[in-house]
Amino acid sequence: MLFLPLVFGIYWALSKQLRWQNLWIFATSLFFYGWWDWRFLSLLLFTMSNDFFLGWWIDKTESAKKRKWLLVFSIVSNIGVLCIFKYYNFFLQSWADLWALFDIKISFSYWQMILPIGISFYTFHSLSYTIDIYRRKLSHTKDYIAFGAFITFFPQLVAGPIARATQLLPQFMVPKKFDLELAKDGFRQMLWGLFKKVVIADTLAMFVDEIFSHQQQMPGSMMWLGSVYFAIQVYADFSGYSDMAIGIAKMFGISLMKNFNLPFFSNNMAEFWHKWHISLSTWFRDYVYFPLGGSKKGILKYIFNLSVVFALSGLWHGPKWNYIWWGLLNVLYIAPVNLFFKSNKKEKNLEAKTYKDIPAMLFTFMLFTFSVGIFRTESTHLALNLPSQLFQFDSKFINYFFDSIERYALEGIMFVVMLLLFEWTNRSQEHPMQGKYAEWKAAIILALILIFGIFSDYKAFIYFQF
Amino acid sequence: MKAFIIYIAKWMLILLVLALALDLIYTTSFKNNKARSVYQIIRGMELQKYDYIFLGSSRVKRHINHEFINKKTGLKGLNLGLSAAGPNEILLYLETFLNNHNQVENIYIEIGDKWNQEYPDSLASVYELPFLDDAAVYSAFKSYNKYINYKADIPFYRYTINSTKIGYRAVLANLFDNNIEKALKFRPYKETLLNTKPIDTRIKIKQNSCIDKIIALCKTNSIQLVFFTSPYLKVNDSEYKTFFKANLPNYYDFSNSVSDSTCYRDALHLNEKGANLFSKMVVDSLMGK
Repeated sequence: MLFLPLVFGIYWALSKQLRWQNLWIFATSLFFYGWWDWRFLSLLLFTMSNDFFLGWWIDKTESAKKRKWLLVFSIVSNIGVLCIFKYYNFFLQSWADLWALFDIKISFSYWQMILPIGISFYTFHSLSYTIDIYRRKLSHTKDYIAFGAFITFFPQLVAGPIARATQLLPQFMVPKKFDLELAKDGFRQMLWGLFKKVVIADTLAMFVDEIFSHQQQMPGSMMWLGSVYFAIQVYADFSGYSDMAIGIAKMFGISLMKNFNLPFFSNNMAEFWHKWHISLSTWFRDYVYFPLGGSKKGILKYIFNLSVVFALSGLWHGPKWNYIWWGLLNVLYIAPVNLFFKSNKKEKNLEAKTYKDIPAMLFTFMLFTFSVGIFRTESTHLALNLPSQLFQFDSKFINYFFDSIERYALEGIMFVVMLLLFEWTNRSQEHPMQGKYAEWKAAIILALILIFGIFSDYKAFIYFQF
Repeated sequence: MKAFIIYIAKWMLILLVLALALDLIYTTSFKNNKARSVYQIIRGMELQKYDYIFLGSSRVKRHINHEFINKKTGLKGLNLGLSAAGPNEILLYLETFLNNHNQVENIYIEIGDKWNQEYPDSLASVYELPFLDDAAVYSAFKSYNKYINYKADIPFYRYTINSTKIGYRAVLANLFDNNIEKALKFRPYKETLLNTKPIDTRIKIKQNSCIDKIIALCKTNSIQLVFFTSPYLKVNDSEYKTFFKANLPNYYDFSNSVSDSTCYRDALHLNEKGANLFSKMVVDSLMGK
């Protein structure tokens, strides 16, 4: 309650002293991170200092070979930390499972470890700095405080958007002037993000949790409903956080990259992935897919490259095979669009979309729903069961809807419709709280937050776990 | 910057106005309904005369078939059990019942694993929050809940933090669901043995101030008071029985009276079969018919 107004007030009071302003942001962001778990501050500071130093070294080094080795060191140290803290048990277990196929038993002990919050975000965030310096897209900075403010900037530290050094770091190098209209817009965008989180995502979460925790007893119809709700939940949760982060950043005169661009209004899955978690998908595109050769080296290489990117993207979300299957399923969705339906590659402007696009959008949404259902299941076994379950209809359908607690699940449809209507009717704007009647719309959203918001059962943002 | 501070202040004002308006609408809706919760039923009940009432938690609500008892005994009585209700809620209900000039000859209170709970139960007491301006409700919370003034004084706060129980669903239901008879209908659990996890029945051996007040109230109003413990399937401790027998007037122990596991929904609750069996036992031994 007090953190944001206090940081905001002092930040603008220091607007004439850039270095102090950056120091204030750096210090308060560290405090913000430490509030979650102070023990991992050292890890954050290590990643940051490591890349600050390596960035300087890469930039001043002329030898191409040495530059490459320094970059490799940066990548290995960053990804190494990520692997240790996030994937250690997963890799060992998968290794043991592989040998178990040949009846060879490998025993190992699990490492009981807490996942540092936001580690996947700030690692990628920080890596973009050294990679862009290596590519000579960016010069190193000597200003450790500004660099610290760039890495730790609190609105986007724990759940993105994954900022690029080329886009965000320069903003901490120049004095900022308070822009009233931008701050007002940021405030309204923050409100919109809060609405998506506490009204849409948290309401749907109640039904999703109930349905997926009883997956084995649920009929196909309920699993469809659960998957649709989860698709909307994860979108509202994550894009809600992004809107809040972008909105707060605007109040600080900082522009963060757009992370979602109404993905549910996509006509195919290729378009969908251009609009979903944009900061991550463009990160993988620029730093993995293009260096691998992209689509320019034949169909097989293209499919291989796409598979690598999506498997990594799945793995980025967490150390589970479900996530990898989910990633690879998207390759099946996207590759045919790009290879055989080239006319579909040209994306329609959102404003130009009409109700005639709805069938294609619905089909795309169903594909996503199917994949995200797999993502949500609680084990590989249940993930593999889901496809057959989804196409298994039985008479329990009526009972589940009208004769038990799940009847309340139907009210979730109202929230889904509410969200999609808001987004569709405001699709020409950056976010729905802009344009004509912006203040009135924000007042309605505030009332909806009070009436429908879930404050009793606090749920952390889904992407905090990644 | 000054303009932005004014802008935010304007939004704070909008928030306050919205919260005040919603608080008024929600509270009015709850006050105009007499059937949505046990407290609402008792609050709206005046000058009624009953032969008996049962008070307690779900172990009364789901166990005591008062319709069967009324039919079998010819008496007029009610089951006013509420899931999760403890001594604090029972005292509040009894005070409200008597303050509204209702009369009752016998009160049966189920007591067991909730013995030490003097404070308002976090689940059961939520339904009383819309009525914080009732003196009895406020005092039931005040001694035990240091946040009660925030809940009472910050408009709409009590509704937002309990939105799943007294939020918009309940407000809508208040409009359409005002049938006391339907609300008081006996609804046993239908399922059989969902889990058999033993119930923690360990209690701290000490008096309960709410129970002391209940005993005193009944004495003042010449009401016959009976305590009892409903059946458990599995418990981890039986010391409570000795304490209750020594300290409670007219205590009946039914803890081990139903041993057939098909009569249970879980270790704490009987199902329909068990509830009907237990209600017969209650008529035979507790009500002496």
